[in-house]
Amino acid sequence: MEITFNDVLEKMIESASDAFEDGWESVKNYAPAELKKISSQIVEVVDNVAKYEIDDSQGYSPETGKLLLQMQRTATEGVLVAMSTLTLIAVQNAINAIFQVLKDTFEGILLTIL
Amino acid sequence: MKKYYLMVIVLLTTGCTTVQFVSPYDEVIDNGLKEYKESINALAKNLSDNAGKKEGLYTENKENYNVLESKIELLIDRASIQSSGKGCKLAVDLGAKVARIMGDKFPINESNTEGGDSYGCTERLLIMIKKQLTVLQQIHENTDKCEPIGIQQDENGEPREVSCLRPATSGTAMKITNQSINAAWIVETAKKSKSEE
Repeated sequence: MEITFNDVLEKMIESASDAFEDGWESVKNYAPAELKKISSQIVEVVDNVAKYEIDDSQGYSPETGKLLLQMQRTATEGVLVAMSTLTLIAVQNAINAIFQVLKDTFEGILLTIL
Repeated sequence: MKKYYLMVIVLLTTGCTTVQFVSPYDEVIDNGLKEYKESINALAKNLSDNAGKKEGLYTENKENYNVLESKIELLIDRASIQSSGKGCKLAVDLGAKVARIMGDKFPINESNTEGGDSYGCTERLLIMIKKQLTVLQQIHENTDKCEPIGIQQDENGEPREVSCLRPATSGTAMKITNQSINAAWIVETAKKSKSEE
């Protein structure tokens, strides 16, 4: 079996794009949905504090609202860390897929000829 | 030259067949997150239903919070075993930026340091969940107040307001809390998907 530079390159590109696509899909689905939630939750806090100020049996106090925004800050940080980690997992999977394809396809042949 | 490339490929494929940028999948953390999410959502729902009643008072629920705290601490300990102990490098810059935007003081010396790495990110995500539990307790104990329902009048007269978790607070707090839990969960799920292949 003849091995060319293009054979190796093609296999690597193919495996990397498959693996990265799977990983990237999860980031692509996760990120916009969570960013929308962050916006609507911040608006929800503001609305509830406004309701309380009109009628204190409704919504919640500004003090509670402030603490809820603190919780939202932490959650936002969590979402960003998750997005970054998912991207890292996608990169990790792509690199490992390249190694695996190279190993499966060429290892035996290369060891024989070298 | 061609032989040189081939040798490099052999070295790569035989000597270093996998890279690991993030800590491996952990079933205990995955299941623990599911259990924690169920428990905290059930507690928040009960507190909302009992707002103003004796069962909804902070003092009546301190034990429930302690149980939740123990659960999340167990998961943090578990994650810290897999991390280098240096924290999550990703969270340092991101956290600081988010804090600046939202006008909060960034906690400089928490679980993350400049020398951290991505192995510590699961631990960091879990610590954030614990932090939210602490804030929820603070709201329940100090800032949320309700008109008392069926609480016996004491010798000082019926209390004007009692500690509670208002239905509106419970609703918002759980949306935010679930967002944090899901952040940790989706990362574990992504690790799991790959480890199962």
